[in-house]
Amino acid sequence: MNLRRSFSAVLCLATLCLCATLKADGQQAGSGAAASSNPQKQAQPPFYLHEYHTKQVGLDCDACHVPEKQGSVVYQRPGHDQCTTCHDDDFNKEIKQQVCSQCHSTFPPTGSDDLLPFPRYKNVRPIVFDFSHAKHVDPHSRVDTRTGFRADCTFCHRFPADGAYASFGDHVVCAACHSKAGMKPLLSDKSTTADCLGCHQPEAIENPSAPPVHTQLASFIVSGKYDQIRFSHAEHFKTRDAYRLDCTTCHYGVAASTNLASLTLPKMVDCVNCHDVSKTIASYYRMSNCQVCHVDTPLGPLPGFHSAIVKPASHTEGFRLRHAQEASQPGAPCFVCHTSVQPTAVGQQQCADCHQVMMPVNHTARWKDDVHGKYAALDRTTCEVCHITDFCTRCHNQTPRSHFPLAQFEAGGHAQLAMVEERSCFTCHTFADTCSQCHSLNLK
Amino acid sequence: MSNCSRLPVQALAVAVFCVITVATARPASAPPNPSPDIGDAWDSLLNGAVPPSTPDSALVPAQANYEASPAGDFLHHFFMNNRTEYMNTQTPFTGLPTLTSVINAPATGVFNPSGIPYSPAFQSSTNEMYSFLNWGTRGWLSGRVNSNFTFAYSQDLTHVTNASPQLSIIDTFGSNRRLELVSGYIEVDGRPSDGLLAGSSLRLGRQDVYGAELAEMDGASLTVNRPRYSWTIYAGRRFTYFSDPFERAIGGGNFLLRFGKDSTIEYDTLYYVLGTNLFRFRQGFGDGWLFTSSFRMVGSAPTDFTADGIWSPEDGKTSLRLSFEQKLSNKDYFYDYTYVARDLDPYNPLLRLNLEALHPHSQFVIDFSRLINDRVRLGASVVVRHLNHIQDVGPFDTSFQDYRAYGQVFPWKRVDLLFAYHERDADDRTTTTPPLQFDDLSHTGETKVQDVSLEIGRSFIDGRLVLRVGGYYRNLDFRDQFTVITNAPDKGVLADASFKLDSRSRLTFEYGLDTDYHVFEPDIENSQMFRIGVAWSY
Repeated sequence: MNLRRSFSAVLCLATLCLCATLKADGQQAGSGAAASSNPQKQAQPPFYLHEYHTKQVGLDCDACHVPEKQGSVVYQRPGHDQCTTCHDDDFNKEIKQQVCSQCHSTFPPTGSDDLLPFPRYKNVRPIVFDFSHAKHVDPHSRVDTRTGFRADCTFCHRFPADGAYASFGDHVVCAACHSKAGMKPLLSDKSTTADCLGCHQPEAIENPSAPPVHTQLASFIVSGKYDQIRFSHAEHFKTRDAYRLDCTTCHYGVAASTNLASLTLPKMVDCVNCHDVSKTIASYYRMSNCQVCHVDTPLGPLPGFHSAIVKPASHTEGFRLRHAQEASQPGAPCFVCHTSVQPTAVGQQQCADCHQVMMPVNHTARWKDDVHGKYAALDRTTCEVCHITDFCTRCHNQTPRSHFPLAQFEAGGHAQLAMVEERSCFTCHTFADTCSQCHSLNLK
Repeated sequence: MSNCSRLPVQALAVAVFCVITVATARPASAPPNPSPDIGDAWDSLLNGAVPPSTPDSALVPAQANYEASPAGDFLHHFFMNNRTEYMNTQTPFTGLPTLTSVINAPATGVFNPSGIPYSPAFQSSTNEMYSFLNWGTRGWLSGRVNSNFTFAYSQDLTHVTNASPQLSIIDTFGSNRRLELVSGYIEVDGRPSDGLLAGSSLRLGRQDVYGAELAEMDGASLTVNRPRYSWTIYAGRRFTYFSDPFERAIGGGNFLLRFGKDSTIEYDTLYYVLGTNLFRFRQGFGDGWLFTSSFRMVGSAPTDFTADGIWSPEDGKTSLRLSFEQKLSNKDYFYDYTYVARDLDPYNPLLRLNLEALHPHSQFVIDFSRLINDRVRLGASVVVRHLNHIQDVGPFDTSFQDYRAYGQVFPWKRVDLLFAYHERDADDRTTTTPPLQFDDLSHTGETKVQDVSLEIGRSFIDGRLVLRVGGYYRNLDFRDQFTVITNAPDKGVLADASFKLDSRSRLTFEYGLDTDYHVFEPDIENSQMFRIGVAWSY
């Protein structure tokens, strides 16, 4: 019956908890759903501008993309002059929204302020998917004397005045090599369609059903900005000598990257090598101060829920006993609060760093004398988190307080104790090795 | 399967991971197949082929000068955490004899009708100190080298008599003190640009390795951690301060493969007397779900299967854990590595801890926590364990249902209130066959435990001073083949203060008072503990 009641209680509790959660979450989700349930415009088949013009119409790239001026490798964005070659009526007689919306975000267009980026990947910007850093890096890792950094990095990537983000190379940068005779693809004012396709795949950029490698780019590559991260390349430049910094100190995987999909930002644990290892870093810039990098934290050095009093929601009573799974996860952030845990090593191998210093609060003076036995009998699995048998047997091999003076205890002093809790006797003794000297096994 | 035939399997696993490591090693910063064409292109490029550009304005500010400390570079890489405590314990007595009829009177050699005189059993006060020191270096001399040493020292400052209520594990060591080197190792880490050695870490010395089971050893472990996989192999000599086991050689490995960012497969193995093998699968789903399942074997016997689901969405407000555990057999031993290891232990020749193994059972866990608003967090958990065979019910193992509800409230700024209610109902043990033998304990054990605790804390001076006070009340139902006890109360109060002197040092004061049901300890009025500690870190 107890078991049946328990299962009922479990189900009721689970239902109530889930209902409460779903209700709370559902209120937020509901508003979003309502917004998205607005009458949809009549579905139209997707139109991919580049695919249509190159494959359906058979145009070459240079039909629309022309150099800014003769001899320049900078190509201007196709404008009305290029479009009206074929679409004269759509521009000068009956203006079609379908045509205008390929370039302008408003209709009727008001000017060049509303121009969309082209070719647009996720409505953001053009991407050269298959750019291979491995094919472009300097095999000798030579250093740019102006910056002190690898010349191959600083040649293509520059930094704006605020130093936050790296810029990306443009045609001028590429032309430093690709304009030389014999280079493929060749970049010049006379580049052919084959040359363009050597780097660009506009059809794939525009088509959401492109191969998976084209849709798994990290968000920072797409947007050119960090997500909720505050970082300054310029600030790191300032201290590059003291910490022997180079681009590949953090971007160590870039030199071997063969396409943009394999590019990654440095992970938080990569910051540890400087920001937690050496005390030459001021305390404000240590890993324990989340605000140095994270912009989504509330006021204070640590998020409010990370303070000594208020723990993260996941740190429940059950979590204290069963957090091994979370702590052994790759990249577990235990070290942020638990300063004895080193972020450089696998978290799972550092359990003792906490467990050797964090004695449970219920281990009071009386705990070792009496109470712990009752709890060990109830559920030994909780003891096992810290203790192994030889810790327990060390004490249990000593003569306990109740056995003194031993002669009188053996002579009959133990009777009342055994009557109250016979189990305590058999925790250490067996009938065969002790009791049988005087007692009969069968109860009378 | 015999132990010998399993060894090649474990060796094969190690070999496979070594091959994978070499095959998939991240190349050093230079590409693996340097192309002369690229080199030539850079040669020409850097020889004035490109007109020099104006330096970025971000590079204009002067570099901050690096200033070495007067003590040299060592202090920049040195860390230390120290905590030292002094503890005073007071035990007032009721004047009644103990359960074994011992009274607080000098032994005169003359029969005393009041009881057995033995005054050492009534020591009312003891003093003890404890110190913990963890120190080491990170990146000193070389950015690749870390060190970590941990010592624990405890000492009785008062002579503790044989029958004193304050007897503790310290009193099982010579001179009533224990100096323990908990850990001491040198760690050599590979840097990300080290190619084959990137993500590697070699630890030498006294260390703990977690995996199939905890391995405490003096030895070496090598870890390689890569985006797609990580592995650790280790071997050494088992150390322990609490026994002297005959067999010391210990070794094993942990191997983990990552599939995408949300899925891992893990195989952990440990060889000490018997082999222990643990297989674990983790899979993340959607918004904050993590599913984990594991299977464990000791020797050739399957012992445990677990399946856990954890929901912890990114808003940090909710946490839900659903867990199922099936104990498949009792062919393991819960605390130590194996029965055999304990049997070989010459220090503990007598089997003084007859707790038996945990028997096959099924267990379900639901644990839920929710931040209701900025001021209230509530949670609850239910654990149901059911022994699969009724004959396994015993004094240390039974079916139970465990309920826990807890909450945290922030009624005012800098004040927090914690409360918890806990109840465990075990089988009432009346349905089994009445005991016929003297040592039949199948009827013995706790049948119900209830705990209520309340704690309130307040911080002052921008959090530098924290005061906390709380209390608990515990109710116990217990039965033995001779006795039935219901509603045995146990209550106490706890108070502590913590004062942060500066960013590196902290003072702590703790006071505890608890009482127990006088049937168990009729001679002891209560137990009081006062503790003063200082913690310092660098």
